[in-house]
Amino acid sequence: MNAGSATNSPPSATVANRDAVFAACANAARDLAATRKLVAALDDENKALNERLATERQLTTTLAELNATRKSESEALRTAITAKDETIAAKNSAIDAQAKLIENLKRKRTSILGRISGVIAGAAVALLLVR
Amino acid sequence: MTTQTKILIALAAALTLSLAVSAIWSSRKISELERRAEDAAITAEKLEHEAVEAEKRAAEYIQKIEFLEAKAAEIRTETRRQDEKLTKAATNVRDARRNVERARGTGQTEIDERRLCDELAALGHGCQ
Repeated sequence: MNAGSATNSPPSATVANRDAVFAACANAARDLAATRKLVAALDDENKALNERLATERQLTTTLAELNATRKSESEALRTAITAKDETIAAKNSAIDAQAKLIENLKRKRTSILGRISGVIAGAAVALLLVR
Repeated sequence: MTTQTKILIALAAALTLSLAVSAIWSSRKISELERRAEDAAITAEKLEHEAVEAEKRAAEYIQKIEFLEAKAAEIRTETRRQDEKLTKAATNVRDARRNVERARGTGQTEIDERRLCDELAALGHGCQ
């Protein structure tokens, strides 16, 4: 800005006009300064909002992963329970088979007595034949 | 050889045969039961191994869950800090906006050339 200084005193109309221009210019300067501060504040807010958004996204990802892991854990536990139930059933089946085996062996022992009686019967027949 | 003798021999032979058949059948049945018990034991062992593996997997998932929960807690702390920062930023914006409105609302102010030049210089537009 070139305000310029006159050698002779300027007419009063010119002075009034110059003062008005100065005042308008000063107002514009203050407006510009305040607006610049507003822009800076908005930039800061925008930056903070972007950071918050990024953090929220990170939290969402972590929570989704957490949810998936909990589901997997639940699935693994269910598998373990099912396997244990089946193990119990298989062991019961083994016990049943062994109980039947024991029963059978007991019966077999009885049949040995039968065999002895058979041998006695054979011997009786042989005696009859000898006579 | 009299008929009586023949009958007795036949009876003895029948008895021996029946005993032999009974022994074979009994032995076969025992083998079958033994095999069944063995199979059931093998199946039980296999299933038990499966259960142990599944439990190991579950334990690994529990560790991962603990890690993720800690991570989520850290992130939540960070979000609280950022929320505070955002509140401050919003306050600053509100103040700045008010200042702009105030600056625009100010009427004509008298100012001399030197002060005006200083204000403009502060904005990077100094007088030349």
